[in-house]
Amino acid sequence: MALNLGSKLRELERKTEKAIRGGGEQAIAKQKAMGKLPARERINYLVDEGSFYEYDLFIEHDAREFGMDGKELPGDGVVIGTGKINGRPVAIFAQDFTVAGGSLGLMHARKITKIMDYALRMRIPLIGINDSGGARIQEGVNSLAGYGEIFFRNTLASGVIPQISVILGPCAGGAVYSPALTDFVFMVDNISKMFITGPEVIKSVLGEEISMEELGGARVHNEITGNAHFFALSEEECFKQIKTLLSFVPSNNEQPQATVEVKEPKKQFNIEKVVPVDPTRPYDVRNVIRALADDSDFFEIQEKWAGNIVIGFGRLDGQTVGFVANQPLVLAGVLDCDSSDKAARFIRYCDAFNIPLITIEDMPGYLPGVDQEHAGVIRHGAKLLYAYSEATVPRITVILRKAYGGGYIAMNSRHLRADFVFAWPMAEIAVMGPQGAANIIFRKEIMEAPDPEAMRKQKVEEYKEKFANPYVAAAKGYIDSVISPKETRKFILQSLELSKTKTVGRPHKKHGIPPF
Amino acid sequence: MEEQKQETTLDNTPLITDSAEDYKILTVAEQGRRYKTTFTKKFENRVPWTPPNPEEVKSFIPGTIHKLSVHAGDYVRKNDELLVFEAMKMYNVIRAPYNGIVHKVLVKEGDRLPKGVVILTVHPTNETPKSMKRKAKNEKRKARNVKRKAKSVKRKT
Repeated sequence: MALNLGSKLRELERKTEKAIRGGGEQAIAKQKAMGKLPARERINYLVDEGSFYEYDLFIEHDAREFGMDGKELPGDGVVIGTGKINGRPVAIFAQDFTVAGGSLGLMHARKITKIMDYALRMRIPLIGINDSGGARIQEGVNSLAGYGEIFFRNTLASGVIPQISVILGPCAGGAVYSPALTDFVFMVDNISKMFITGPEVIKSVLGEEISMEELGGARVHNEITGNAHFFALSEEECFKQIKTLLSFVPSNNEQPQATVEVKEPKKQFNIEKVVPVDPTRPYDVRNVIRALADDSDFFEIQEKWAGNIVIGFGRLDGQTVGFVANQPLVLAGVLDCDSSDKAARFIRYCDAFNIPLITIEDMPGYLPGVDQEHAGVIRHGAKLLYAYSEATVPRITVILRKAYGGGYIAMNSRHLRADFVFAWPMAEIAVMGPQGAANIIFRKEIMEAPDPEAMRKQKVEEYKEKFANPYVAAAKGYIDSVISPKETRKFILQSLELSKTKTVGRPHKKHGIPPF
Repeated sequence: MEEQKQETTLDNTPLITDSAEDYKILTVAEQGRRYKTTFTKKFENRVPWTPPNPEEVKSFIPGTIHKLSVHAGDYVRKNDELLVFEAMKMYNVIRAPYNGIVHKVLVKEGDRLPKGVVILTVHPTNETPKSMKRKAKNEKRKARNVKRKAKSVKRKT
């Protein structure tokens, strides 16, 4: 070759083009036929145009056994690099299914861990697009080593930078632990698959027959297991969701979020009309959130799982806040295993990234049942208490209607050191509902009365009058103010402004022992 | 009770929709109140709990009946081997939880079972077939003695 720049550049161009083609035209066509986009196209959808810089394009594996010697795997099956999403730098890796089925070998893992190290060092969000057949069996333990290095870094970075997993293909076996360790998991109908042991193994060991989709598809993880946080019908929709999520969260745990221009909630959501005064009538608490949030913009997380509690991001006064709200529309808004899990994890996320928490309460108690008790509702419910207590971000609670028993405590009460607790005039804050309480407290009077039923009714009314209201709690200072519904946003904004300079200490410890 | 007017959201769906037929009622025990609400699939599909039958020996994991060591009617002592259950590449020996008689055997060797299937039932009893025979004999002898005594008493009087 001639010693001039031109020919050197041409050589570079040639090598780059070859590597970028990944598994080749045929493999890319196969990928598209499955309804999946190739790796680099996915990245292009996600990042701002022209902002993607790729690294380690020319990585080569050094495996020699089992036919690997001489086998060329461009980029070793994964694309890594940095780009910008709406102007903010992010680190990305995208597994390339067209190269050896996206299987993970030593160098493939090295690339991923390299970009993870960059993300952590530069304190920018990490987005991982998973689309892989799993460990590259030919590389044996090296694949396991690779996974191990990834999981450790997931844990190290947890709570420092936002970590997002996008499942756009199979993600099976050990590989699935990486998404499980990240903050948010995005899945797409009919494309995403997550499971530890797949259908073939299950069939041969247990004789149970199930399809990949039924076992660990997007619906399963969004509706049943709670392993996923977002559900999309197409990859394009998924990328939009990711961008929206990123617009709410800061790039790392020390950077304040960018504030946005404040817009008032939309007029359609009139908070006075959304909530019935009769505490047994349901309503959609998301409308309450929309009545309170800037521009009525509410980005819900895990919408399809544990519907009796609602979590998600919104903005108040231009800054991101996290909403946790009981949902009377589903299971009367009770607390149970799944809803406690769902809320507790979200609270931890917001606390890690300095996002204030707004709790909206209307909850009649815990869901009774042997299946709940045997599923460990005690342990799961305790997670909620733990998460709120440990959180040092500004925490504001508004009790709309019911706040009974242990659930009253768990939903960010004053006792867990909520910063401000407000209640609406129709709130009922008590240890038990009027029926149950009257039966216990007035048992003697009821039994000895000439007409026990009439006496019971009378005592229930008495109890209701005396205790099913916010004033008993207000009299003790357990709530700060009884407010009218239409003042709610005003009170919350005021509280948030005051909380901007909140400083609290906690006793020094390595860490507590949450009821995992 | 005040009447709430039907307000609408952006896409013209009413804000308060509890006039719909697909609302269910949920009672949260202590309350006695009946809440109008929807259910989650998980809640609707839950299996009501029934107390376990202590005489049933069930599969605790999916697997295969490798060897049956007893038949219906056998007397077993506590910890006697009832069957060998192959699961997860291990041979699990399942033993009698108490002295008793095997009442019913519901599987055969080679059967592949999921979790929670009744394999066999064992009636607890300390009476072995031998001791039962002996007891029966004793009962008969007692009955004969009572008869004899009654006869001798009759003769005397």
